[in-house]
Amino acid sequence: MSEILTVKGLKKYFPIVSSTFSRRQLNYIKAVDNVSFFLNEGEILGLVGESGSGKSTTAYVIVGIYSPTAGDILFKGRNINVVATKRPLEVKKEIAIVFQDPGTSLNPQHNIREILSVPLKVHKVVSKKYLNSKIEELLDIVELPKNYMYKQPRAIGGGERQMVAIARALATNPSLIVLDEPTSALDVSVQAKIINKLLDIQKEFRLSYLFITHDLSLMRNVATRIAIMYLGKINELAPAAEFFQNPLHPYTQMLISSVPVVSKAEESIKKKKIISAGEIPSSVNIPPGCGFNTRCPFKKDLCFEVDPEMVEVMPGHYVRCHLYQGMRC
Amino acid sequence: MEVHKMKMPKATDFSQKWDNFKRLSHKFSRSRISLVGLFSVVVIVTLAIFAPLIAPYPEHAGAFVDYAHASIPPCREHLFGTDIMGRDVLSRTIFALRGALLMAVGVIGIVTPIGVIVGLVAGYNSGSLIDTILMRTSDVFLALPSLVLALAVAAVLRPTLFNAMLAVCVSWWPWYARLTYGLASSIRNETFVQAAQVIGASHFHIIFKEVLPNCLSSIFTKMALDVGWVILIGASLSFVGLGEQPPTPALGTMVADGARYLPELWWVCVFPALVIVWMILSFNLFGDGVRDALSPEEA
Amino acid sequence: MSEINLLQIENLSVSYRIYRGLLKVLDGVSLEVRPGEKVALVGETGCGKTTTVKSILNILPRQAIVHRGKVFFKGKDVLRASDSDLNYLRRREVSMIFQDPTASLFPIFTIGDQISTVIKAALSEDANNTQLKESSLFETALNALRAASLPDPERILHSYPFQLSGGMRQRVCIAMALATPRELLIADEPTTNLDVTIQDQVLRLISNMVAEKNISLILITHSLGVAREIANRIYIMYAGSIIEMSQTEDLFENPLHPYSRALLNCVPKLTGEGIGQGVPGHLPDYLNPPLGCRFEPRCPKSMPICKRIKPSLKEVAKGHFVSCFLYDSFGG
Repeated sequence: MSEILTVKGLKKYFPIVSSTFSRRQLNYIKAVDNVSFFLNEGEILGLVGESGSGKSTTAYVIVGIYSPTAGDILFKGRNINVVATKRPLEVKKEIAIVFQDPGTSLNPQHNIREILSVPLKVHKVVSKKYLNSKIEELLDIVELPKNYMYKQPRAIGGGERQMVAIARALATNPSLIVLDEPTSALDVSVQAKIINKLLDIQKEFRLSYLFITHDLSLMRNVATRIAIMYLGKINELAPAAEFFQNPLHPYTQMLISSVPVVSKAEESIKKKKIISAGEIPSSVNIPPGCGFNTRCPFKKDLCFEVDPEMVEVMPGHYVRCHLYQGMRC
Repeated sequence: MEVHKMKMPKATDFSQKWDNFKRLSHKFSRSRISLVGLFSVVVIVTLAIFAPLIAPYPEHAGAFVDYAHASIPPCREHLFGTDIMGRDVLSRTIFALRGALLMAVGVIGIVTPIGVIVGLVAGYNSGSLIDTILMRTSDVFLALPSLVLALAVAAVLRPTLFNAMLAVCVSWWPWYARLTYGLASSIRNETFVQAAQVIGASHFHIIFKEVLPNCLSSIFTKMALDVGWVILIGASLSFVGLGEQPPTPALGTMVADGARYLPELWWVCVFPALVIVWMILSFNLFGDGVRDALSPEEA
Repeated sequence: MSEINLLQIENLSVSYRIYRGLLKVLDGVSLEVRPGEKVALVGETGCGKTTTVKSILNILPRQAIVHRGKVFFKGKDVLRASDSDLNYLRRREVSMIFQDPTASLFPIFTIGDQISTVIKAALSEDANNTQLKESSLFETALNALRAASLPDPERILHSYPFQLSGGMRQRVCIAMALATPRELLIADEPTTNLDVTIQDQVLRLISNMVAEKNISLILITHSLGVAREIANRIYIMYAGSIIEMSQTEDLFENPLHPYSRALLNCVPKLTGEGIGQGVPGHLPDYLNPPLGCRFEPRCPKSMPICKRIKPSLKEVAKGHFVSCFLYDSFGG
């Protein structure tokens, strides 16, 4: 299995400038701070995190909405470290994104036909003659009726709008789709329909997904491998089942303990109960040492001085925590 | 599993646009006074277009003199009376509507594309050198007062309707640039614009097909409300002798000429003045309706 | 029953007037809350949960029309209450916290100003109270913040909302809601906008505070997991009606209504067994809702009677009520 996406040492810092008069740079928001991972072809990698974790920023840098401050992004072996407007067209054809809020990711002044035409025309996917039939084909894949072509986004429901966003992502036959919380704004019954459809499409077209969400239960049922992020860094990365059976990082354990579940079977999975405490620190003044030291129940002196390195504790299971530093596999 | 499949009506492009139009019209008509404005505007435009057919004495609108019937107060044959040259004030007023409307259409028609394009390009590139150059340039033009500039232009070029329009345009376009700049610089950060960038759409596509359609409501509203202003400025210019030259009737000129004969021949001045007020009021009420119709839906 | 129950909503039907007609949102909703009970009202977007609880405080919007039904709080009819009775209700008996804590707080006043306003309003009608002095207002406010587990309450009293995180703002709202004694707290999706670890803390806080002060709780949520963690009893709502109600454990062990089953099925589970298929179709058009069961167009077990008659909420097992002809011996 080859790697379709490799991210090495990715950093994205947003400068905070002072008032308009002096324009001095005061500080940085370290939204993404030295993130490395890879995504295999045909795989779904999940990025989990809460606010300030940097998961959405990572996604935005990968698709080119932001340019990276440092680090490398390799897509099919090719370096794409620049913002989307500077990337070659054939690369943009291969990478697509589905945003969280379909209300704002679809132009409210366009109808669905116009929305779906944009990628088709930009990449000349079909000639003008076949434009309408290609659009009908896309609507069919996401199970939307053909007569939605001339409807505007405000005339259809949230779930249906998100289906349009998915159809738009599929229009250019991409190999990688980044999904940024695609169902967070939707009801659970609508979410089910969309997730099932996304999984079907992934299998049918052999796509690779970078799936971002804060919902661990959802992640459990979607991702092949899961990476958990906190304050711009990855704390743990493991295959999905292993991630829940054997969560190593205290933050992972805290997050799993906090998930509201609906059955006793799930309660037993939440076995390592770490009661959530403390606030998520702001990304501007990240404390020295490990970013989790303000809330970690297992903190030691070392945690306030040295930021731990990522270590492969078991095959495929990586963790970044002083508790496991001596446990290389 | 038997799930009833609802029969959906066929949605075509036209039927959707018609639905949209009906929805906007409904929002417009919620306010009765806007409907009054609309009706008034329709009357004004009809009078202007069909002036030769509607005006009782169309020939009075040109070079015409009839001292025998001069200075007649309002009566059945001359509803607005006649002026000192014997011309029917009503007919001249109706013909004068043409100049006023032409000025409005001309100015707004020229100013809108220029201002909007400048604003769009500056707003899309907000924060960059292009933004600074374009918007500071527009600030310079904004500092010029329309009337004074018009006087200066008239002094240099001949005083005609066209030149008056030109003068007003020069100082008017920055308002549209500013409006569009504000809209464009915030819309460019919207998710659907980011989506277009990720897809690989060209800058041209993003500016004109993604950003611009979302600015149109505000731009149209401003256009509708500006008509009243331009008419007022046009009347002010012709009041001081710029704009349409005699014998072509212009509302401001008629007011100026008639003012000399107040209070005895009051009808020569008062009726054109009232018509100016009526025009501005009608277009303002209509503009309010447009603004209500195009304002964003409440959740 | 009204003497026993703190809150009794009987057969409430509410419509909203829009230009195209009447949106018949609530269609005979009945709900009750006993003293000290924690009740969850679960439903998806557009089912009418917020309309239901707004009627409790009589804060329905202008376009709302109440066709039928009554809302009794401690035996008093809320919808027909006088202004002074309503005032008393809102200041001293019932509190509400909302989904977006940022929108619930004035951005230009300090937390201290806002919370003391609430406390003053609650206490000012008590003729022989001694708590209106500034210093005691301050103490009460401080205690309210401490009770809500807010660290450094004095600093918070001097802060503005934008200086606090989302979780802290919601805790401030909870503190304000429970600063003075009251009998019922309504929480409308209080943790939906919060991060998961913060949500856990806030939910535990609400649960502990209402238990300590013996306050009843109505929790509105679209998350079955959240309802399961907090509530003793759960109402499930669909398209303006209560379709199932039972004790918490009973609902999850034995969901009866096809909608409840489908909903439970499509919640993603940590056990990783995959996600259910969801529910096909849409919410009914409230302008022209079906005359029979409102879920029938989407129901996998629909029968002819379901189209004609609307089922009513019947007790099918002890404490377990369903509104469905599958369980109604008179139907089918």
